[in-house]
Amino acid sequence: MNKTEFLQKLERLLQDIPAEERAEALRFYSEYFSDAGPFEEENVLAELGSPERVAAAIRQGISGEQAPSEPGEEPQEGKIPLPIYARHGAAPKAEPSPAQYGGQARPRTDPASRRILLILLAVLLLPVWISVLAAVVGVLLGIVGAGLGFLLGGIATVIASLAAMVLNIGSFFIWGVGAGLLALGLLFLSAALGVLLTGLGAGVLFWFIPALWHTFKKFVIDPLWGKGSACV
Amino acid sequence: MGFGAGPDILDSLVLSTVAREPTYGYRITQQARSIVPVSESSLYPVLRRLQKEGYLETYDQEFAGRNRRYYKITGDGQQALEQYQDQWVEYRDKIDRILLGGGEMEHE
Repeated sequence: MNKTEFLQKLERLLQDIPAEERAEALRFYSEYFSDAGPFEEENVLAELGSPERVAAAIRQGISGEQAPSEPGEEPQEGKIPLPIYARHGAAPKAEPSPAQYGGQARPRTDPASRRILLILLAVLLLPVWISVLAAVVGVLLGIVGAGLGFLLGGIATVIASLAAMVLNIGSFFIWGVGAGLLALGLLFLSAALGVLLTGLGAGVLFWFIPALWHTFKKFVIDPLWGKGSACV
Repeated sequence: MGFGAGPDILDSLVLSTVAREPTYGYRITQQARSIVPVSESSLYPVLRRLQKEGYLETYDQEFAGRNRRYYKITGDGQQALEQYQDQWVEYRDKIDRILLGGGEMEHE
């Protein structure tokens, strides 16, 4: 297809729109080809796609004005339509609105009704999730207990080891250097183990549990409860 | 993921292009396409609508032995453009805060 054929086809396809619109559109595209220049003709044809596609875009542009998507959005003389991303008020609202998605991706279910649904579901399934919750809490308490145990036990070990070291300085003199070094070495080892235990305990309490919580929050709570299908 | 080529993005691009300097359809299209991935067939409906809404007006100027239609911005169009600019800055700042701020998303 070349430029002339394209324009002829387009004219035929636009027979169903008002004469003035048709004339304007044809003039636009005729000039478009001219301004692009003969060397670009093929590229333009490729990019414009088919005459059907161009005609559809033109028709859509016309009907879009006659049927505004939202009530009260009809452009009038001197009235300035607000961009989609600001349409629901300039101040940030508590309720997430389509405005915050830039008008491109709209959530398929309204967050408010999704929450009501979730609450209803939760009430209905009470026996099920209460027992699950109990089990989970039990496990978590166990982990916390272990963590605390490690932490405190570790600290106690270190303190005891250091104390023993001090108290056993005498062994150097009573039992000799060899025995003294052995005792010291063992106590250092015990202190190190104590530090290790403390570290483990701290890790469980201050890293593992929070990480668990964050993961749970991110993959379970937020998608269900929060902003839904927002994709930032 | 991108900001796409929704109707308002195109409107603002076209208005700002024309506000800088009155120009013709082919140039407006190329300018828009250099910024946003739109099809060449998308621009005409936008130009036509902005014209009918009174934000753009057209005039003809002779070029290489033919008449070339130029678009220029009207007073209303200039006002609309300024509104778009304000709203863009606000929108952009909100996104920056979330995307680049590094903090947690706000919850209700």
